[in-house]
Amino acid sequence: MKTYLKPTENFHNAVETTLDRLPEAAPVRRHIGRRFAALGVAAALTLAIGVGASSLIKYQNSWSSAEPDFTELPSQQEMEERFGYPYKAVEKFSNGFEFAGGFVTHNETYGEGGDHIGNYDSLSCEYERGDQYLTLMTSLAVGENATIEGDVAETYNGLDFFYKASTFFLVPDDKVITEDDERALVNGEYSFSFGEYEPTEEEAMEIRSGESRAVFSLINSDNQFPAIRHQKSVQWIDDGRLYRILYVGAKNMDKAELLGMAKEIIG
Amino acid sequence: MDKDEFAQQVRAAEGTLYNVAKTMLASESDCEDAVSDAILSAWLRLGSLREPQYFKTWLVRILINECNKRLRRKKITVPYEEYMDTPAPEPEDYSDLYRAVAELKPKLRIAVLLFYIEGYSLDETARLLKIPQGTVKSRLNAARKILKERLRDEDLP
Repeated sequence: MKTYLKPTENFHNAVETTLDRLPEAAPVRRHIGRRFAALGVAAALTLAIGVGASSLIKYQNSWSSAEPDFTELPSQQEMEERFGYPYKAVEKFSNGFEFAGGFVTHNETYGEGGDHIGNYDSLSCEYERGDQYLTLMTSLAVGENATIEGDVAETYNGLDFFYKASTFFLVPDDKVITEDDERALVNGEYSFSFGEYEPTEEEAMEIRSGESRAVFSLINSDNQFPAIRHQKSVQWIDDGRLYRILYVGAKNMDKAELLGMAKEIIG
Repeated sequence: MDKDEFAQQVRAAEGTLYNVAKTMLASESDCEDAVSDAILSAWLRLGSLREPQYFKTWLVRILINECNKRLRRKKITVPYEEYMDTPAPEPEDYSDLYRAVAELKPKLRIAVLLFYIEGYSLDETARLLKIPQGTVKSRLNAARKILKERLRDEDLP
């Protein structure tokens, strides 16, 4: 085949770096999610998968289109008709995030040996507040989705919230990261700066306290992005469904705000 | 499939992965992020690969999903300079073809890339994009008309 495009050196390096850093095996997760209502899950699964199949599910592979399927938040009845279940979601949060689009997420389920069990659809919603975006994702809490990594951040109405945060410091890919750099990043000591970004005291505190995990992310030196990216999520299992609020952005969002949004969804 | 074999298969697919990512995302940084996430996701879900001989197709599908996730999050217009950021053309590079394909609408662009340039069959292209074969055919027809016009004076591969 004649050349169409040749991978850039940076792309090749991204491939090689990822291969070098692969875990030795898929991570083992502790089962710490709330027991789901078996009847509710079984009812949804029989529609597409088969009675008793939920216990066989190990993995789920999910995708949705780039364009939204819903321009308005579906009503509970519409969700029942489309997904077989009235997922919880809100039109607008009290902190200003508003519904910006709904997506049908197609989920394929597989057993331990990679055998295909069945498919089902779930709802994903995007929200925006000015130049900030976040996503509410849902799926059946079966197989690997029946477990959530981490410690319980808060319990609300009998549901456990799991919070996770990472702060990505984007640095030029020719930067040599020393042991001192790593130590300073983990400790939140910013006596140096990468690029033109100087972390705030709040961001430093999140890392020092262990609330956020700091990560270096090597990028093309001609980057167009700010030098920091926050990634934060809140997850919980409710009635056999896994809900996840995921925020990624340059502006920080604090833990209390995300947990508050989760509570508004639960009602 | 062990880790070494997995890595070998990923490296063998690198050219295709770049073509797909670049066709969908344009931004080099996004392409690098998407392929990293796709490779990691594929490794963690290796148990779901039913037929190892279709590894490359399976990996491309995972990459397409990652690219779609980024397209949904981005919601901004990529500056022209970043969009057209390609390596300096070599005499044997089909950069005119790339530019012509890059100007197609996204749905046509990815269909052309997979069918004509990467050589997937109609059925494989339909499976990768999760659309009916008839839809693939109509997108390819539409793309051919546009490309013929734009590349009128060029030799198509």
